[in-house]
Amino acid sequence: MTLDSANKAPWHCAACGIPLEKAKVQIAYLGSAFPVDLLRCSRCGIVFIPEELALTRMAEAEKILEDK
Amino acid sequence: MLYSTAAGQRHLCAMTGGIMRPGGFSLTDRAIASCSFPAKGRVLDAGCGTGIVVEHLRSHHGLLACGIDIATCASRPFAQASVYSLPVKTGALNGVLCECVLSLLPDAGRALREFGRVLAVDGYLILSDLYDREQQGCMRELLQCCGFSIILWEDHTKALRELGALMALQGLDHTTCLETKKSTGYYLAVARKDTC
Amino acid sequence: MEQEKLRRLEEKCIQDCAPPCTAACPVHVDVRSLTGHIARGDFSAALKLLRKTLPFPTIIGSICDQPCRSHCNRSLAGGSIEIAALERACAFTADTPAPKILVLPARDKRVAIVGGGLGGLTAAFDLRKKGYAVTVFEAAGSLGGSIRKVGGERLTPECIEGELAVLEAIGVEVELHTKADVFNLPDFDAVFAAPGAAGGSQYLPVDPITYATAREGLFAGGSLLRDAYSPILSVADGRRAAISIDRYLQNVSLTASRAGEGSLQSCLYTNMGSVKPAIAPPRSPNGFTIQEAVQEADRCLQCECLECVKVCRYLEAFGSYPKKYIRETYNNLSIVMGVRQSNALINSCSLCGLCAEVCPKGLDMGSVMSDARRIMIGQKRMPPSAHDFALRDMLFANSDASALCIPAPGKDSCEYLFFPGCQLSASAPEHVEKTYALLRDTFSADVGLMLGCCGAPADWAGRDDLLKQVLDDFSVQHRRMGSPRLILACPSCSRVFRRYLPEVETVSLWEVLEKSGAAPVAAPAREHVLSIHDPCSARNDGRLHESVRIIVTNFGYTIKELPLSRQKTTCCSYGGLMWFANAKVAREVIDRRIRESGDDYLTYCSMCRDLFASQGKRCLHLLDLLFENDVSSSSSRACPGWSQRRENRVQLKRRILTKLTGEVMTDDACEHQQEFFIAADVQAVLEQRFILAEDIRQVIAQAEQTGRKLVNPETGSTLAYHKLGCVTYWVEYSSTPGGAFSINNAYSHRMEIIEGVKS
Repeated sequence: MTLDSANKAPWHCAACGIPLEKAKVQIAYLGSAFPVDLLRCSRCGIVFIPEELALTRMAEAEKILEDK
Repeated sequence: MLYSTAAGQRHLCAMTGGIMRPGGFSLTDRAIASCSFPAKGRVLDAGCGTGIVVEHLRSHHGLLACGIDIATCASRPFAQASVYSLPVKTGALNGVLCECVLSLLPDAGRALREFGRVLAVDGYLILSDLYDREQQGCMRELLQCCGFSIILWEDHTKALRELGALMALQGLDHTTCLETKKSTGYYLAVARKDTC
Repeated sequence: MEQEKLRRLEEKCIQDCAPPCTAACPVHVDVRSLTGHIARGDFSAALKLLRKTLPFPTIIGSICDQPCRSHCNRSLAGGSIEIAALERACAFTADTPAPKILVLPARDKRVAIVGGGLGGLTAAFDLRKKGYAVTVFEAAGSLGGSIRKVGGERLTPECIEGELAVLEAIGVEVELHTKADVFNLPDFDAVFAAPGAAGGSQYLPVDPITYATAREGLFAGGSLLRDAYSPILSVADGRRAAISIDRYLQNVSLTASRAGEGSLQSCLYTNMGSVKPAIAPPRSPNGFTIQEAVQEADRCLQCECLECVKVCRYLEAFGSYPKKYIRETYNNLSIVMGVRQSNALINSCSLCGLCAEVCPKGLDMGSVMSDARRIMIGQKRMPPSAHDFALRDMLFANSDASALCIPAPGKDSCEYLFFPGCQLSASAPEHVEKTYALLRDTFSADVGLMLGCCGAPADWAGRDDLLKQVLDDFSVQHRRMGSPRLILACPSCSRVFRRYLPEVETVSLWEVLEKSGAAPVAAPAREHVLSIHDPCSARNDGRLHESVRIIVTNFGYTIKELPLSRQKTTCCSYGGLMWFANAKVAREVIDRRIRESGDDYLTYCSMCRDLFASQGKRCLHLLDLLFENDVSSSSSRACPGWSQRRENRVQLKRRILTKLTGEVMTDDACEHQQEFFIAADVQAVLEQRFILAEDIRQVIAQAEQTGRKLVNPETGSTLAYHKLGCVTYWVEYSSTPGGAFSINNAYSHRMEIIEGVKS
């Protein structure tokens, strides 16, 4: 998986004070759900979506699902 | 094959739980549900790949399933064979599954006639594949010409798009394998072999 | 869209119609493709094409009487194309082996052809190809009839034999020296009597459409129906008879759908405006040489319409033309299950109406796409990303933060109500204040002011629900002001009010300024030349075009008209929300427009001005002439960003309230608003990503209140996300010593995070 950058991401959960860990998270759009590997706080569930994922891969997936 | 490189296939395999095509097992299950197979019905998966669907048919549907693939297969109940010439006696099967294979063949009609040969009268043919949504009549006509009556025809392009979206999320190039044309879609069909 | 309406719309697009030459040809030779192939030097392709329509191309090329030529559009610019000579050139030049002609499997029906002229032989050829057993009876000693007389030197007997050899090759039987009695051929299932010019009128009456005679199975046609010999009409006769005989033998209707046969009137329009005259090259005695033929074929205009596609980057960008687009759109809308594919086509149109202006049939793709959007909304299939930024902007313009409706100071109602429009308030708020003051000073003291959006974005997006809400709210306020006459600065507002609230009286600000003398009368002439870009929503407002030009001239400027102006003006790409739905095409639309002239542009719509300015064009708004001393620097004023536009509206409302009513706006949000700074480079990125300062404020507020945020222990910066509407915004920020925040980055996505919270 292409999550090298995410694995190295230095983010900690501010509320729980612990570093994020790799986890399978569902993301959904227009009635379709997909599992993706993201960094997540194992205690409160807050996740990290890197800029690259949001602007390229997610944007592309959104476009496909919107039938553009 | 939806994805032509080995690395791509491994990804696709992982994403679809090993089944490597849009819809995963859900389309296969949907098709089986619209057939009335006898218990321990004999079913062949033509183009079975790793044989994961054959296992599924055995474990979840109680069918006597086997598979063939043009690529080398590990062991029985899988055999290496061409869909044009199945190692099966005439009229011996209750069902043939052919998922995501026909669109790759140079002569789909020949394969369909071979499926017709091995099926018993009233046996079921289950197809799911890519198609050109602007010319869906072609496939339906071909089925009829080859001696089948269509009992189910459904568009499942959404499943194709979902697989495309999943590939996009993984950073894989979905354009080369899934969206060759804007009108490319995915269908599920069940047909029954006619009496004569 | 019902089938009926679809067909009516499709019929309006004539791009698919046969050009005049092909329509006039009684067998519809595709002359345009033929000349296309020859012009490229591909004689083989040309001959192959000819053989599709003509059984004996060399013969026809040598003796064709060319009814096509008098219809050729080239006749108006140097003389008709020498079509037969080109056919002949390719028959003699092409280096292709005799074609293998496909004959369908044999049918157990026999046809007799009596008369071996061009008509009879064409029928024999066509029927044999369909699998019938065909015998030709010819009284003379050779086939060909009149062609041997009219052929002259160009058509040698060898040439004729060579060409007719195809009949034998496909299995047509020929009985020479045989005078067959058409009434007594009992071995045949059908008979075609084609006796040529010599034949009498013994078979009449003959049905002019089917060539059937009163006698069962006997058909008659050819030169006997005419006074003069016409080779191509003979071929057409043979073909018509063959179609009838085939239908007769298959026992289907002889008369159904035969309107397309024979010479027709072309309905294709071809603009000859920019065609330069060119005459045919001199011809060598034996016909065109290869070079001459290429040269002559190159004169062919390749007639087509595409009037709309030529002027509209959007129609051009999708690679086809309206007839195809209408079909694609219809297919898209009629898919009930499954997935659509033409959403971009439907949502990218600016709905500006230029296509209808230039279309010979007045086809308006804007109304097609506008209807399509409404149908998609009705089916709940409109992708949320298409228009929601623009719709949120509209809602903001009509929210308490920026909307306002006040009578003239000291009154309860007003006679006039100035409605500058949401984008003028967003782009040049100070001009709204100055214009309002000017109107009260010079026009009528009794002018109120209303700030807000007319609902045009909802109309463009096809959101009738939102449009109705905006118009209902407007009407309530309008009545509260005593139903005053509206003074409108924006042509899009003007269009919306006229269309949806026709009972509201409106007048354009520009007519008011022109008539009230607020603009100077004949200022001294200036060097400065301006090209006027008329906004597309003012397309049909000729009086407005005049008022604007009078004002500009009175200021002393010289006007140089753009090639597309007034009724034929183009859209700036904001119309129809194209700018949001298809940024790439929108940029090209702007680019194409701003390159039309090197002069500074002047327009009277703030969106047009700002979008042209955003791509580096020097452009003025008409109000700049009234209120700016340094017009030169005004024309290069940057286009304010989306956050700035909102802020401008908010500040405008505040200033006006303070100035005119003494009221100081209390804003709840203001009190606990967290201060933050955005560096210019970050701001530019945010603009591009359609992320507003307001979105950032909300993300930070939420993160700071709840503590749900990520921190980077190394840099101390914070990352937070929050879903607003259907978009999730991510903001990375750092604290500054003063207690404010500085924004490092922001991005967004629409996919929703389903947080599997571990308990």
